[in-house]
Amino acid sequence: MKNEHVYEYLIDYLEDQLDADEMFAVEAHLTGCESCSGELDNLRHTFALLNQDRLVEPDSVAWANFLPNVRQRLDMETKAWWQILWPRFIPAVVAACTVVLMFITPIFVPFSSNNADNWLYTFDDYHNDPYSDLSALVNDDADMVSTELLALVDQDEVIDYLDQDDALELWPTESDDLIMEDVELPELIEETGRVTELFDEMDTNTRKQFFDELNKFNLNLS
Amino acid sequence: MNNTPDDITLVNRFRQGDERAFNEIVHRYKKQIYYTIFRMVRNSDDAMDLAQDTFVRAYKAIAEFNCDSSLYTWLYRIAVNLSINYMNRNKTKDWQSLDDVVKPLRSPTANPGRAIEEKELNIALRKAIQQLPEKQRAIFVLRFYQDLSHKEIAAILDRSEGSVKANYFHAIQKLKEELSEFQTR
Repeated sequence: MKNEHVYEYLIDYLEDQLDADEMFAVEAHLTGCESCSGELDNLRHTFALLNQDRLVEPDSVAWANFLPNVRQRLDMETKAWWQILWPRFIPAVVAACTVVLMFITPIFVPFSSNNADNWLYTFDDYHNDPYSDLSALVNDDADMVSTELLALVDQDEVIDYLDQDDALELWPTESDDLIMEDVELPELIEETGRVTELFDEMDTNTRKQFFDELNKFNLNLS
Repeated sequence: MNNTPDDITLVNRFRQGDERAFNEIVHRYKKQIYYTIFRMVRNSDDAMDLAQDTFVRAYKAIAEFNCDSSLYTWLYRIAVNLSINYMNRNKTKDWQSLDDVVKPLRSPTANPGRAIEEKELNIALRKAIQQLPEKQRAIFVLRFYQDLSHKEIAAILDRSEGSVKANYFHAIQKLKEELSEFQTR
């Protein structure tokens, strides 16, 4: 080794990785070899520069969050895809369900119940002709409900109107108390108000025609 | 008397369902793993992300861990593989997060020339280390900064000890050349 360059040993020499014999041989060579001594100096300087490469130390919060973040990732990875995505879609799903319900409800309600409250939803389609509209109320699937309402709820307004004309009289089939127990919703009153508006718009012949239609359903008319 | 359980004890406890043992493993090695990854990828956010990913993968693969080898060697292997994959994916990425620009140790007003020199050196070091091939970079970082033996690095990278030594030698030579500008100052 004395007469050969020792470049390949210099890194181990600097890192104190040589055994005693190798160390002795390298040091002996370095005393008489300017080239290897110069290379050793260069390496030493390179090591010094590399040791100046400083770390970017995360702050204490980042270290404190390290384990919770690992745990969170583990939770995410062990959940099924739909369990991860579901929370993001909850608002969209709720909105979609609401829209669907808004469309479906008017379709099913008239067939599902004879409840007077639900009958309100049958007032969706109006035509220009008041008689057609009222007849439609009588003739559609909710006809019995609608005619009962005419008889039970709105009788005062109808009778008042009819009394003015000295025309037909529509008598209630049940007591006023019972009527109010059955239908107390303000919306119902509002809807029946729309029926009386239709009455207002009728001429005498149309009105008669309408009550003829009502009579087909055995309303207590006189 | 030292009551701190050794790595194998922690692994066995974790395998038996003790989640706290896993937490202890994370606390024990998170910094070493982060520092190693940061030296390779040179971006603190990504390094933190990859370090956390290292422990997630360790958690899921703990059954594959062979207790004949050391836990930290196994963790380093996961971390280095993740880092090498990251470097391969981001080969064209040659930027440094603003947070990662190391501020000079001394105040610029005290010695502006020195501050500029430190900044230049920091940039030169980053470039010099980044130009090393991925595996050579990993070997250099594990040896120079993490002080692992050639044998341990060989086990981590699944290479021969001779190959690791040769790669380390070449890495140092390249870095010496890249930093030669600073040798004469």
